[in-house]
Amino acid sequence: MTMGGEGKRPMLDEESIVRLMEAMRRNDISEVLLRDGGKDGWKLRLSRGSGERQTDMAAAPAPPAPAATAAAPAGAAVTAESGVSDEIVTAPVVGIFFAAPSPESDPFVALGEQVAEGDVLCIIEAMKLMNEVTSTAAGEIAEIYVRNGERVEFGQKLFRVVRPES
Amino acid sequence: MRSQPISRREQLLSHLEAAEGAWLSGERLAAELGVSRAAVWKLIRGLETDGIAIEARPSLGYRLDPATDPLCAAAIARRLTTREPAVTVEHHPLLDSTNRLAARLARAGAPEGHLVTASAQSSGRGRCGRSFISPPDTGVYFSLILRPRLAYEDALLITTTAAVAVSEAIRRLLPGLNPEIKWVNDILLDGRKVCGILTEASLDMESGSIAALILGIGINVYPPAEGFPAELASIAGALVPAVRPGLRASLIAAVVDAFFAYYPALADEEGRLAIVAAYRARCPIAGRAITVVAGDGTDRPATALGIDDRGRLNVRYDDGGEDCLGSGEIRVRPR
Repeated sequence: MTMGGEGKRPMLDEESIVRLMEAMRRNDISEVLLRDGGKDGWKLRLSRGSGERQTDMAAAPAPPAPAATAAAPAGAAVTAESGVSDEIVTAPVVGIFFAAPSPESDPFVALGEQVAEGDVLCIIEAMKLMNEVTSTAAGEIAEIYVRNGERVEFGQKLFRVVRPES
Repeated sequence: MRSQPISRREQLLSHLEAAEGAWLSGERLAAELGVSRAAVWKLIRGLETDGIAIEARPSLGYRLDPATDPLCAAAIARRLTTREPAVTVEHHPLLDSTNRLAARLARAGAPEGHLVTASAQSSGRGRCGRSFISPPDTGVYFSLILRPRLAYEDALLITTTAAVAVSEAIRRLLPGLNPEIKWVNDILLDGRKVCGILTEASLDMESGSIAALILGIGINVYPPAEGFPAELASIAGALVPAVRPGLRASLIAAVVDAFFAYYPALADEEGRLAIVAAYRARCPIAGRAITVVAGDGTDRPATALGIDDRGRLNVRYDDGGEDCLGSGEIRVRPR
């Protein structure tokens, strides 16, 4: 579907979102990410879990926030899987995924490792800008969805972090 | 942000450096620093243990050995012309990596424009942690803290902008040299790499915007006394063969000034197009046969078509299909 016409800022209204959700269900699509990278950019993430679906959307904050291209949490999405509150760390930017700080060194994190919120999990490189991706939750690395050197898209799942049971 | 105030030793060095080869009497230095002549002599000894070569003549006083090019913060600062942002210089004789210290200072709140320089690095880093050879007193190694208030997509041009700034600073200071940019961010002189740029960003995961960005630049100014290591001898180069007093400080200041002259232009489309146009003029890649180095190690031969308005490289693969590269690496194949 197109969001807005040629040359116009894309519009996002309730009706388009509902239509999008229906299209996702119809075509068994688990996640959709829409983004307007403009100055007043917004981002919409729609995801369908197993038997449960939820949305995660935020409008861009009012100025002054010229740096913000997106207001919704880019790095995190909460999924509901078997009742455990997992944190899925997603790619905040497009680029090449690097699991380790250098080809010779150990990866930043390994499966089963405990991480704290803010720990560096990987680097995504674009135009030789090395972006540090940090964990948005404390817990155990339960899944790594991408391989070293792979190209990742915006919003693509990178890590699943299982929060300790409280 | 410095851990210590500027020492008397550094003050003395900055006076000697600012004299640009002229002799300064012990009496005059004592008066400038507000210490005794005996104290000046002690400070001179201290500088010598730091590796600064100083000549002393009983009738004339002291001067820096004109065959050397020592670096100090004051030497860089007095050459800088950038007003906005205010550039503050912090120099260290030896650091593990200027980017690492700058990142630490940025996390502690250091402002945009803080510049960390070193005469040598013990573990200078290149892209993906590849080591960057940084022997003492032959190059310049510096990292600039930036806090760009730019859309992420526009901040992606920062490395591109830095490459233009380095190549223009070299041309301005050393007329006759013709440095070229190898996409994305290497500077070559006569086909040999003389400069590496490593830009590291810490992202605000909530907003996807950049919290702080460290622009790290290393330039080989002079060849190492013992030559480049064998594995680099055919690919690494230096700007000039012989030492010129003041050149290293001038080069750092010229690069920083050139970068900040472009930096505000990143905020608007017209400015970005001008930066990319300057980049294209320094990066003669269109039509060259290249190898696209894929992240997973599979290389594909291709022809470079040109640089697009976002600094990306358009390519046509030899086995068909076109691509617009915004990450990864290429090798330029010999003609």
